[in-house]
Amino acid sequence: MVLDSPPTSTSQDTLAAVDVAGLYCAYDGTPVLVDLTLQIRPGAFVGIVGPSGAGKTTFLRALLGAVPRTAGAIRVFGKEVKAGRAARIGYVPQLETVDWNFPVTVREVVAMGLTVEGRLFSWPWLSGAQKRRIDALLERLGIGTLGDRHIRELSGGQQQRVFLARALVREPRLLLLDEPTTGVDIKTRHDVLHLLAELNHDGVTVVLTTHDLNSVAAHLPQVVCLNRRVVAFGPPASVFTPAILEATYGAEMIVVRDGDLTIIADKLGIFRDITDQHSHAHGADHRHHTETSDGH
Amino acid sequence: MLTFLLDPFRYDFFIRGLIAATVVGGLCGMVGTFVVLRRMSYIGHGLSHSVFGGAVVSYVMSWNFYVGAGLWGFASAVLINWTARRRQIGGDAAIGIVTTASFAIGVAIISRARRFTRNFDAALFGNVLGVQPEDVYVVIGVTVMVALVVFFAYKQLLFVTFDAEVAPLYGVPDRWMDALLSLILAATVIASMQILGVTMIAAIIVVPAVTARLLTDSFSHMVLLGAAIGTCCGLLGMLLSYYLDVASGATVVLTASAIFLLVLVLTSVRRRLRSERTRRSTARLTPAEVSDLFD
Repeated sequence: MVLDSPPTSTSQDTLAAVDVAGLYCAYDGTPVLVDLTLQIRPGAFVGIVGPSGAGKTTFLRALLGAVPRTAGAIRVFGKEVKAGRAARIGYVPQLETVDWNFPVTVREVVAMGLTVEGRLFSWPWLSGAQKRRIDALLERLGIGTLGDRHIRELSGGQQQRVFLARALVREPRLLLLDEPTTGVDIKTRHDVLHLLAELNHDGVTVVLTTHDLNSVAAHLPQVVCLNRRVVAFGPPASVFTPAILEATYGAEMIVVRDGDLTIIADKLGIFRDITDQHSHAHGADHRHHTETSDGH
Repeated sequence: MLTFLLDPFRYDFFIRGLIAATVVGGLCGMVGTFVVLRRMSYIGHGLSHSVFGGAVVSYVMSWNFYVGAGLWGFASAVLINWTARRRQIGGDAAIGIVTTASFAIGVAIISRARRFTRNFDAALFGNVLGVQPEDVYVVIGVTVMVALVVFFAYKQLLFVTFDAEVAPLYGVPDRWMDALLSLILAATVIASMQILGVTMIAAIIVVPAVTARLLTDSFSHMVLLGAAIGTCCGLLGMLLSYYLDVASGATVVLTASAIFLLVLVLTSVRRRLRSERTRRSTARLTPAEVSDLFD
């Protein structure tokens, strides 16, 4: 399942979707992002991987102008992102941070996406056009019948779709998702990735963070290895090498390639034994190709 | 019977008290939804104690009560927010420090001059007799103002209440909304103080909102239901206060608690009946039907 992103041919193509140059961010004096430079083209589908504390979430929030930065420039579709001012970008937070006991229905959550930016006051109701937009979106995401349900009554995949709908109702050209596949089962993960691929196909630039190198990152067209700075950026086939992964995670990794399939494992313990036995059993002429950072 | 029911309405002070308590009940119920869902219940409790300090100081300095207590209350709310932003100090600890110190200032001043003591019974426990026409106007004014703010900032307040982390990422001015909520809460506490008493306010803010939460899963319904339940509590509590000759703050709180208990029991029974029904209806299914359910 390699999710191809088709080349889009609009006049905006010359402007990068995301253009970050020399970005430095720090929380309470502790540097989180250091001299980060990255360009993502419009219509791209990019996964950001890296160890905990590598600054994945900070990077997404920086694109939204929500993180104080000490240096550097961030442009989204050519427009400078100002500190403390939200750009019109779709953002889906980690579902773990949601208060599932809060009394809101699906429709109420999605309507939050239509809160007018920067305003203190507005009318409390939605216009007819806004209501139709929400209904059409829920329908499209396959949760059309769940509009009046409480958010706790949904399955993991449906919950993910609700928060995706909240981001999409703003009709963003750039969609940022923080760990959209963490804590969901295999089928849901598959559904979510498919949905994102569809959106990407329609021209939305998608950037997501993930912990899952094997079942998520390896299927995306492009991957960023992040550890405070960009260690590598490119298609998984060229980025997932033992040397780059070690530089990203600070631990030795094994990369097993079998045709289109790439499997990454840490070098310690049981995985190594299994892969060793496996290649022995199949003989030397097998296509398995195990790479480690200290040679092949 | 009719004369018994109409009896209290012969007194101006009672009619004033009834209007004030009913409106205050609705005000507290409406504000309560935000307080409960933002887990600010303790702030309401603390703020009312804090304002007591302001009330005593403004009495001693012979300032207008509402001006003195208002400034004092807003200053404490800002101070709490500011203290709680320090990561080493939790919100609850910040409230504990600011409001108890403020309350202690009031107590200290009263104990220096014992002749004040009786005047502050109303502020502590609420007093129907103490309600002046001026108080009724203030209560109505504050309620109208808070209702307007909640109406026109509804979307923004809902978003920051639901997810304070993500709301600013969607362009909601979260700092302003925090300040607005503090202002609303301070105004509510001050307007309610003369009628319900410092010690009772927190309960009348929290209990109707929690009761409404048991009855609905929708935010807008919770705000409206909270206000409606609060209004009923104010009205019923005030009538009980007259007939039972008990402090009005206490009867309003006890009415609210009784309604809460009733709703808690009814919703628990309903929930049990519903799960029982599901269990029975699934027990009668054939294995094929059961497997259909999971498809």
